[in-house]
Amino acid sequence: MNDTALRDVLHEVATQGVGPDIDVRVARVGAAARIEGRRSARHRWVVAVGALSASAVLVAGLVALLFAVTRPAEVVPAAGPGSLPDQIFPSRQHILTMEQAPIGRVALVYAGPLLGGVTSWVAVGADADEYRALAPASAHLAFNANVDVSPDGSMLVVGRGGAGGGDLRLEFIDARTGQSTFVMLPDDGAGGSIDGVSWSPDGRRLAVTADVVDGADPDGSSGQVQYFVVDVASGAVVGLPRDAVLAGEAVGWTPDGRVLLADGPDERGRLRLSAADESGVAPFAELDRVPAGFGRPSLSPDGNLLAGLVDPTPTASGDGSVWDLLVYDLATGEPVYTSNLSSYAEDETTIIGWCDSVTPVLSAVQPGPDGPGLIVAHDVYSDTQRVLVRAGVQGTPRYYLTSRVASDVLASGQIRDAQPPEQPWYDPRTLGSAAQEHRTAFISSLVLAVLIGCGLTAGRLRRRRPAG
Amino acid sequence: MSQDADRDFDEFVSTRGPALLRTAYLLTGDRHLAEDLMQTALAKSYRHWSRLRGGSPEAYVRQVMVRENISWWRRRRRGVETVVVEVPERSTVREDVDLRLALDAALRRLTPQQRAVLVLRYYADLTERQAADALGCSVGTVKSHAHRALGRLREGAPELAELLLDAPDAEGVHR
Repeated sequence: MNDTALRDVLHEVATQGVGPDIDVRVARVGAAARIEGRRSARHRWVVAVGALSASAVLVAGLVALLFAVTRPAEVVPAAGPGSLPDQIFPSRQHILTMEQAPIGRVALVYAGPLLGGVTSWVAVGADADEYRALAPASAHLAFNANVDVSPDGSMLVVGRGGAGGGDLRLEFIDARTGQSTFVMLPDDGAGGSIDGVSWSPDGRRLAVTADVVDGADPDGSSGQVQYFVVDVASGAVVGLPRDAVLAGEAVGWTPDGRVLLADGPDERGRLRLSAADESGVAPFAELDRVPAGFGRPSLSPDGNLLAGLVDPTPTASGDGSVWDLLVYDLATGEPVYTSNLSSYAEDETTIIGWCDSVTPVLSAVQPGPDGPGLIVAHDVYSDTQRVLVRAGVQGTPRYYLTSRVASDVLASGQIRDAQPPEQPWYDPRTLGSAAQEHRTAFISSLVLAVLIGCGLTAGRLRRRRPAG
Repeated sequence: MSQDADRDFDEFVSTRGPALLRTAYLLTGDRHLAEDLMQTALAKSYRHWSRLRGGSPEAYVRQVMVRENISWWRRRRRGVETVVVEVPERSTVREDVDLRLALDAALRRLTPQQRAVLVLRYYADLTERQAADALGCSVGTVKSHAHRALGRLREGAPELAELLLDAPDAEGVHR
């Protein structure tokens, strides 16, 4: 036999091996192949689209990582004059902290609820509708002035240490860099609480009112009011002498840079103002015939006017109470302006600053569970009122505009139309930094891509025909 | 795919399918595997049918079968070994049947590459170049596979000696 014989035997082997019903089987195989071919063609599209999507997600993740790695720390340049927003908006559940994204310049600070009802201090930008969370606020917010904005809006201070004790410390937050520095207050290790902070007009110093727990008291229940002056640049802390405590409560700064103390009015209606510094306490001004309920005083930047709120008194008909904003001219000792504040909630109204030394500015909340907050300027000599900032919209959680507004922003009187924030917001409690946000996005993308890839591979393997 | 192409595909299967199935049988040595192999190759060809129908679809299908069978064999080798069918007793069968069964059994002992070379060269009547293209290898590799395949057939099945005595060795075939 030769190669022809081998060929013949091979043909015979093939013919006998396949069997007699070859046409039927070929038809069956052909039909099955056509179905499988169609399905396979569709599957290829699915695989291609899936692979493309996975690749896109992976590339996006890599780009996000690259962006996070290469992006320098965000530092907002110094802002221009700045202005007040005409509205502040409801607190959003996602909000950056100052550390995550500096805001540049702050117009005002308010306290409002964040996600889950946690009430926090929130700073509002002077040049853009941006909000930053500062710190959780204490439960008792009314007139709680342990957060304040520097006159130029570039620095914030947050008083730390609560009623439960703990170290008394001040956190200074640079709004342009987001960096914080801490200054400890001397408290003999007994702790206490910071009841008020107030920037000097030049922004170099900070007056602090603290209730320091008496270290000798075994149960730590007795406290003592102390006043401190902090040099912001050096962090040096100087306690005011004991005379300052006896002279009254700290209410602000005199034009010459001393801490203003107010005592009274007494039973004869006499209100004494003192000025204190490290060297001692000196008389500043005195008023007579001041109503008994006059309190929460504020001195105009030029030192000529003193504004205060008069506690409510029942109306003659007995169906309500009236309370007023009262402004005195210190040169004459006579009241020059009175405004009825009955349309505002009493416990949530305070004087937060001045415009042009003749216009006290109040923060107030209109009565009712959903009453909006307002910042209202009262022009003493024209007897007019102007709403500068309206907090949110009706039906939103209550706002407490308790912090001082940057004085030069107020002085400029620039009000801008605020727009609802459009940029994405983030929850500061779940994200440590903006970079971490990108890393999280990258890792999520990577995991998603791997899962897609595994799914596609498993699908292909399952579709592959058995090999025997 | 258009209805024309579908009809064309069906016609191709009905006319060339039997020959392809026989080739698949020779490649796999198993009737069911042969059907699977042919179905896989036809399914892959179907996806490209609009392009293949104007050329030589049979060569493409055959090429896919050869390569797919080698791929299957590699996976089988890593996984479950298939049982090689024992050569049946030959004392009661006729000589030609005896010869066919011996060749069938001997083919199973070859590697898929060697078997493919024999099938392509002596069953499908391809030239060395065509066989090399189908296998995706060089002509020299085809020659060496054919040489070794014939040698192993001679060793494994002495009854084929006469058949293979004058069989063209790889070196002697130039078509």
